[in-house]
Amino acid sequence: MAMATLKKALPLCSALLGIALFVNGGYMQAKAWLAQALIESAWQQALQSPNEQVRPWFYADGYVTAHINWPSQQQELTVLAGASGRNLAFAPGHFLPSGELGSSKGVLIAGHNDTHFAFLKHVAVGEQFSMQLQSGQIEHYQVRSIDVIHQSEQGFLAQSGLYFLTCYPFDSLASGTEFRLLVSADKLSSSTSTFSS
Amino acid sequence: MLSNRTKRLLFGSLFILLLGYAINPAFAANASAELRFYDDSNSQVSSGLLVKNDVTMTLTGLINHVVVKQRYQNPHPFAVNARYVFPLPDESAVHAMQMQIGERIITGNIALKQQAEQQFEQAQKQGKRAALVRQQRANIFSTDVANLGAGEEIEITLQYQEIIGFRDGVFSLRFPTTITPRYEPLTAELQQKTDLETKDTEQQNDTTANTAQVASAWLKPVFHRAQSQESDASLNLAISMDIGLELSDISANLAGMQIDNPSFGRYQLSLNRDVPMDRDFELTFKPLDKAHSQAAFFTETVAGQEYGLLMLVPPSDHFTSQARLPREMVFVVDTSGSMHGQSMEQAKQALFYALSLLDENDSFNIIGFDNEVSVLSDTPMIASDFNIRRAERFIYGLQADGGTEIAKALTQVLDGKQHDGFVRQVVFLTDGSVGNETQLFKQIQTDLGDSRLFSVGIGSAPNSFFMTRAADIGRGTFTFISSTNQVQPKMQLLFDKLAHPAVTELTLEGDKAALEYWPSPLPDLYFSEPVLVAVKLDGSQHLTLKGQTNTGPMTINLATANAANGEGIARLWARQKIKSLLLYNEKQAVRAEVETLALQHHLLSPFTAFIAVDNYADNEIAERSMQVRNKLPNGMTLPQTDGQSRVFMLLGLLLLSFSWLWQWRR
Repeated sequence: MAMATLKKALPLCSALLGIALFVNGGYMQAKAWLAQALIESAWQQALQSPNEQVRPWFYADGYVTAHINWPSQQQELTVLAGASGRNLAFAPGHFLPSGELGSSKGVLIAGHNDTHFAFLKHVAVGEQFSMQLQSGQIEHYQVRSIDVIHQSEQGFLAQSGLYFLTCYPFDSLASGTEFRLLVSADKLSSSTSTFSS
Repeated sequence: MLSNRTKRLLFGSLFILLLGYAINPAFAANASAELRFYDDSNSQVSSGLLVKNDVTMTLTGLINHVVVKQRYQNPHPFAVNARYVFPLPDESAVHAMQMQIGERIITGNIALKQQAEQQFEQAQKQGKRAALVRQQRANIFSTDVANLGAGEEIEITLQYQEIIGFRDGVFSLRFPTTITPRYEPLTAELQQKTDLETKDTEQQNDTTANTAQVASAWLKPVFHRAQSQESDASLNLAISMDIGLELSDISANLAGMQIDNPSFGRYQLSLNRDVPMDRDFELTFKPLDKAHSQAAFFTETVAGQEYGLLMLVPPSDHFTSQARLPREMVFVVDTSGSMHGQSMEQAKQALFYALSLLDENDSFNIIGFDNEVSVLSDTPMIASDFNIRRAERFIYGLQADGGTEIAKALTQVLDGKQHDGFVRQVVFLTDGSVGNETQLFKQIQTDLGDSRLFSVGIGSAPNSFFMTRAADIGRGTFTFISSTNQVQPKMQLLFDKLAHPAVTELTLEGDKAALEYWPSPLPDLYFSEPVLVAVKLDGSQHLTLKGQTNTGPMTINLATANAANGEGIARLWARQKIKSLLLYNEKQAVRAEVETLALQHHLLSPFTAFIAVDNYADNEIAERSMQVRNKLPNGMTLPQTDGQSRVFMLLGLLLLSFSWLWQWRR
């Protein structure tokens, strides 16, 4: 008898667990991509007032700071200042201890490997993309190299360039990996434009 | 309606598709990814140069004589110029250097920095082996070795002296092994221009300086990943102690330390393996009989001059007070990126614990800073239960992010005012990873008012030079917390100090003439801390220490006849004098005086360097320069960015389809 109840309960339980997991994962994805829409509109506003810190919603921790356009990967992403866990749930974050955006120092932008920066998996050396700063300036970059580094290794920041960082490996079952995928890019040119990319 | 067969096929293929996707990551490792290393001057380097550090310490009395042997090994098939930037304890008086090539020993000479640099460059061009040791900051040094031949090994030996710490009845000594990367604020560019004059000497002669290095004018350490099995720099340590006291509770923060006690009052410690250099070594021990350790006096006669070193703990009744003044405590916590990880956790714990020690009569405030400042409240708050809970929520929300702009926080907290009716104490928690120390010292000096600054060092390799001096100028104390389990005892000790009034206006007088003693002026003295002073005796037989306590003047008399002989007291006196001169004066104004002192006592200083040149030139001239990489301090990390949302969704779908299949089969 007990066996029969168990047999009945098993699919139900697994269905419920399945729904819970799916909803949890879906919520993270939805949050990440819906927030991008809000952040995108904040970005348009930020471009109008280059000297203000524009927050995407009134209680947000971070403010918008740059916009990445990567045509070959069909990615358009708005970047928040600060790579704290709360910011990263909504958008890629500029790691503030690294160089200032647009400067000649090593600039680091980090993003989650299951949402905004999942596309880094498909990036190849030589691809080109652009980043727009709040001043309206558009900088063009080309991917120089793709490496896997240990999380304690920060020496690369001594070299100038734009660095995209995300956890490695992708779609891992375990959390808290020690490795990071590092996409390094060199600046090709920069131009000023009054409208957004 | 689909037929059963189609349904089964459909689910079967869906299942296989999902399964394939689940397994995929294991095989999807990006084939083009690889590990690479970069050095500071934008070129990729293979893991190369090795430095083995052999440290031998000999403790006699209060003085620690240390011999550091750096063995440079060049595994490459070509000659290189090697550079190693390394830390030493903050007050270390480096007084001797030698270079050993095979059997040949070349003794290093002390010289003015510019001359030494010229000599070194010349030797480098002529293919001679040469070594140059310079002081970058009070606690950061660099060794340059020219023309280190292919497969060759050169040993550089440095000797330094330091006074071991004694505080709260515990002796302590630290040996730093790596450097927390420094943050130099971009807003400080103007200031740096005005400082250029002082840095000229370094720039002119540093042939490898690129523009980035010129801006900050000091050689930056190069870091490398901490997890690798082989490391570029490693450490071996042996300590022999002859304190003359029986000791208890000898403890070191590195595992595997062997302790022998061959005879009364003598101890041998050794660490017989190479340890990774990613955290400061700290050794603490207590005298078994506390009463004997409350005063010590050593003298040394050099060139007809008698020098003395005095350590004295005033009896605790000087610190008692009937009326306890109400306090205003301001906690300033560094939330910059360098605090990310363990350091931030330690700081938060320390703050939580500090809040629990507050009294109802106290008021408090919390200020978090990175490159922006965030305050808990605009005005100080009464330490009520409600406010403390509010503060705890504030602390909980602090995130380590951004640059370290201490100046902004100091502006916020130091108002330069006198406060009537209460004591204002500022507790400053940071890893001090800043590059613009001089400027900050000046700010503390001008804006202090009657507030007192207590610095608390957090993390595995904090910039203790900055924090000790900040506390010196801020007329408070420095506390070092190296791990989370130290948070409670150390914060408790700090609060004991904060709770007792200090002995102020300390002076030392002799019976013959006015004495020249350093540090000068003597810092305020807190509960359970010793007075430590180096003095030129000028024939005085009796010394008198005077100070003001809460209950009236304090006088302690000493006879120099009871002093024991100590080695290197004169050097320590000179080192203390140099420190005080540079701390309270413009660098250029005291330059000549510091140079004379340093040359006379063979001391490394900002204006002097050790140079050794091997005149036997048979070597190929090195064309490449390499820098030995330092390890990043234990616990510093890049942001964590892995998300499991897709895995969750996938597992959810798998489970759903599983239950669906199950239902459908029945």
